[in-house]
Amino acid sequence: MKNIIVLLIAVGLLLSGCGQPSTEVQPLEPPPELYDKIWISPGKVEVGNFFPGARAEYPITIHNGNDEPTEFSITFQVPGSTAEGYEKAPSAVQDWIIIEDPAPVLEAKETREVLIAVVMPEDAEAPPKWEFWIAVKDVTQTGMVQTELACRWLVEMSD
Amino acid sequence: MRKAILSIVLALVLLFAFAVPIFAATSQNVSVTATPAFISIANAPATWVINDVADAGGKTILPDTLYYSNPLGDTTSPTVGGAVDGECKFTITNTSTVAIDLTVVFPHHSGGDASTNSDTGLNDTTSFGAKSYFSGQASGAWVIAKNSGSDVGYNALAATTNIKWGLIYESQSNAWTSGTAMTSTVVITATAD
Repeated sequence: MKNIIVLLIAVGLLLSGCGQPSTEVQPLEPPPELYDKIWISPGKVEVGNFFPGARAEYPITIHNGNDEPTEFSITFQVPGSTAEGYEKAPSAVQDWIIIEDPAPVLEAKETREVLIAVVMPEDAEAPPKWEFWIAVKDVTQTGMVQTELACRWLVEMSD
Repeated sequence: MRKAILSIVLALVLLFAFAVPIFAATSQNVSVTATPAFISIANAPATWVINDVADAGGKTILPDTLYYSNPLGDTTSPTVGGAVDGECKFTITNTSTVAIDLTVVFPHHSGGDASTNSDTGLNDTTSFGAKSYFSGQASGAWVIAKNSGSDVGYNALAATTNIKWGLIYESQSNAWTSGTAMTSTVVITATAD
């Protein structure tokens, strides 16, 4: 009887786990020379087997290398150039993106994760492969020429 | 007693096996993979006064004129066969852990005549044209700096290396009317190659 119960529980847990999204993370420590620089991580997020009604999420990590608190803007962007085989994200994708905090203020040398989620409506359509960017900019920059860092999101739809 | 326990366990198993996947259907089988990398750049200088590359002051921008951020002269084109370092005002350093692509946008002006970016690289009535160029690139590779969504201007700049670059600005073809200054901020964006 005990064996049957254990077996049933194992099967149940196995089956219930099949429906969960898989997230592959390969942790990496930033090199020490980046401590006093602004950086973001990761450089690319690849989403596979996406479909209408699905949700994918991954945090973008931002480091404020400045010596004072700094405000950043986090925005969705449609790239001019895309990875080979990918199309630009449809303009409607802007409404599918959830940015946990689009204007975070980081303390000097602080590193913070901000969750990014893409939630595709049930009735929406998208190309088989599409790309969008999540851009991070130090809004305290002055001058006519400013810099920005962006994480590429490469989304592949399920067949 | 055993039957009761078995029934409860069976009910729980059925609940997890069938109900949870239904509730989680919106995320079923979606995979998310992140490439470990740190993206970081530095650019200097951060300023360019159009028609005053030497920062002498007191100059104005004429309409229908091509200007370059070329230290050799405000209206001196970089070498069309391949821009050289001395013709580039800016230096961008890739402090990332990976190779990066660089993209330059030149948004519409605000204030004054509010000249808009034609997104063609050429000027027109009430609109300006803009391009970016990088050291070593011939004129055919100079990329239009659009209001947004420009193509990549420089591809695969290796980690811990730098490249010199510049901007081209063609002012709107018609005369100014407002008599007051207008502003825009050029943005250079780094992405993993």
